[in-house]
Amino acid sequence: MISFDQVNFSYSKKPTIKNLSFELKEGHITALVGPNGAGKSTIMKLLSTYLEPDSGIISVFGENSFLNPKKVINQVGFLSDDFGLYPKLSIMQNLDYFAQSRGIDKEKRNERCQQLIDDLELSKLSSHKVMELSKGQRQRVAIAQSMIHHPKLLILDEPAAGLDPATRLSLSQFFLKLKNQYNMTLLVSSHILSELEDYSDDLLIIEDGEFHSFDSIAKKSSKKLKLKIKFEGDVDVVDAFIRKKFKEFEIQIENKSADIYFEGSRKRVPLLLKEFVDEGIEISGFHVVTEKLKDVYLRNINKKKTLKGENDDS
Amino acid sequence: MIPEIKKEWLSSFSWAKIIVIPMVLILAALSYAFDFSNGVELTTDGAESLIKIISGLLYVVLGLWGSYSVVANVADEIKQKTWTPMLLAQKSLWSFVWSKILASTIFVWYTVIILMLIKWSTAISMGFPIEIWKDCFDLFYGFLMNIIAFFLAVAMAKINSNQFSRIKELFVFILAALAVYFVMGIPFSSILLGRDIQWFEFEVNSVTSILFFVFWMGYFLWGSYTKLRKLTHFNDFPLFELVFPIVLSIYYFGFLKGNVEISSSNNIVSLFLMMTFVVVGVLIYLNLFFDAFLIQTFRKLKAFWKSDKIRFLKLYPMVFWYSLLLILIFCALMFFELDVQFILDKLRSFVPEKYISSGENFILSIRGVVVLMILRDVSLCLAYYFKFFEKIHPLFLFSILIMGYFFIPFVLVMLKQFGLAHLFVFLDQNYLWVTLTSLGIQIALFFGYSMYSFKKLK
Repeated sequence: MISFDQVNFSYSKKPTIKNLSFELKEGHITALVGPNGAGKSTIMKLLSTYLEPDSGIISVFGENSFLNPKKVINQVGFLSDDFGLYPKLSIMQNLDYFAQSRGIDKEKRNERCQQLIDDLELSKLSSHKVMELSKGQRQRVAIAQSMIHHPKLLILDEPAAGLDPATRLSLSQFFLKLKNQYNMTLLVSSHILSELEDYSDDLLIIEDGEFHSFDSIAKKSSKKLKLKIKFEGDVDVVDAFIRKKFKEFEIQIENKSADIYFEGSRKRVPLLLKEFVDEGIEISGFHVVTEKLKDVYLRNINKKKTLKGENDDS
Repeated sequence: MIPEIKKEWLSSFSWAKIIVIPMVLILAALSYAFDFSNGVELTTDGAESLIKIISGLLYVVLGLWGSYSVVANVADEIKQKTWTPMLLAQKSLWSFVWSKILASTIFVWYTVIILMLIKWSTAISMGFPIEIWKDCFDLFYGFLMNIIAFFLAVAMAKINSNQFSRIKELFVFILAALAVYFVMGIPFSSILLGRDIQWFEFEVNSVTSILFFVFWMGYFLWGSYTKLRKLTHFNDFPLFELVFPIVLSIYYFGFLKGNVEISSSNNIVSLFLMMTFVVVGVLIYLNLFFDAFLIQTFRKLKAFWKSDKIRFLKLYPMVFWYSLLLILIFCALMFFELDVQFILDKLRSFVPEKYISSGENFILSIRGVVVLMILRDVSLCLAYYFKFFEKIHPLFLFSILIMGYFFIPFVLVMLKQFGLAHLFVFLDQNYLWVTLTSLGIQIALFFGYSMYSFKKLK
């Protein structure tokens, strides 16, 4: 079990994580998303024992990180943009140093370093010094370094930052391999939602240091459809009609366009359109799309903002 | 090879360093010691001077260059963002401590070995005796400074920062130089200046000095280890900080006890006692100020008010630090008690007599207060650590606190037993600021201890 239980943390006077509780599923890849400054990196640092919570309990595979930090450290690999590499050492020497520090014996060390170098497509560069590498290449070395000790939980903060599209694709496949072959649990943060969708099982949304939602990506993105309708006529009248008629649906209205989110099959679309026609609203266009992770995320964030605005007004 | 040493070797190896360092040193030695006027000849005067210069150079190379290398190495790790992943990756922080100190001084030691070889070969060729213990003293002096520099650098390092300024590097370096002088100053004066000094009943010579060195090296290595554990969030009992002033007190007490005559005639020991008090105080405040641990404590205390979690307060009682400071004051007062008249005599040269006499009364009267305050506060502090208060009713605990901090002092004051009241709170209208500070501390302490029971009552 990997969990946060009522965790609070603040940098100096500013509370960054507020009473946060969630549970990650073992053997799953969880995407951690949220706006800038939401506290994603802080959550990752707390989970890796890099930071210590002000209050609350963090458990990693049953170990309390406050009581047994060493046991947690040994089970966790962490890639952070706050971490660097030794610029004057080669890729192989960097990885070998971290492996040796962790107490891995020489034979296994060489094998492990070589395997990671191959997996992360760094074979041709293994004798190059880190200071000679591009940003993307250094990022791949940093990923390799974070998992040199074969952790059970791998925490990756923006792993695809600085990587080209082809490398991103191979990295996605590599993450899936880690999950499927080694049953590794991964927590990955990224702003590239389309990629997270390719390999993640669960979606954890954080906003302003607070828990927003945790759900299976399959459940979230495959069952909902979005009907996008463009209409003519008075916006206020149509707005009032939509909000009254489709109040059980999630809706977003902007200018002369309405997004209606619904679960089920596309067969419902004619029935929904018929409601507009019966009301005498002229439809200038429509199309139906399966909701993507990006849409789910934006809809959730917008919904929360709207609710917050309404509460503030009231 | 040990990972730290291997990494340092790979990072900073160059043939230029390996060849240039010995070449320069050997050529300098040859040009200084040999007389080229009548062919190539090693003169006795030249050889003696060379040996003395090399002894001095050992302090410069190992003490100054070595210590700066240690501090710069920690600073570089922090600046290039490798400090945290490196710490988190360590299987054993113990082996990391010593291997890091050796690794960051690898070229320093290379130079030291060359210097020693030149020194010994000169001595052997001229038929001079080799002073092994004296050489060990020179080397240990520098090495202890390296260790203290590492300890201070680690104490000032944070795990969530990528900054370690040049000013901080310089500050750590100077502090290490001062610290090694304060702990080894008396043996140093015994060995190098030829003073006859005793520690309790033991004569301070090269052998006992080496033992002092070994003790302080071990102590600061342990300190570095505890600091690193704290950085990686092990929530240990802060034994190192607690024991430090006590160990230093016993250490200096040994010199005072063994050199009563010296302390009154030469005054060197008494001066060291005063300086020790200042240094210990400064070190502890620096430790608290730069240590992320204290910031965490404040943060946790704040979080405590907002949540129902109480375990953090139990593990991090702020009152512990207060008790520690009291112990420090206690140690200082112990010194004053032993040689208070000497210190007051010294003060007479620049402080008016009326302040000296009242100051004497103040020092003597507050001594008793401090002793009992320490007994009370340390008992409470230990009771928290050993979770004694979890076994008793919160109301009972609350009553104990009220009795200790308000009721008994109040009764003593009402009975006009001011002398006894001093045992708890210093009360004297002639020393208003001391009285107010004393009262303020008592009230703050009362609230600190009470938090636990308030929470229970809730």
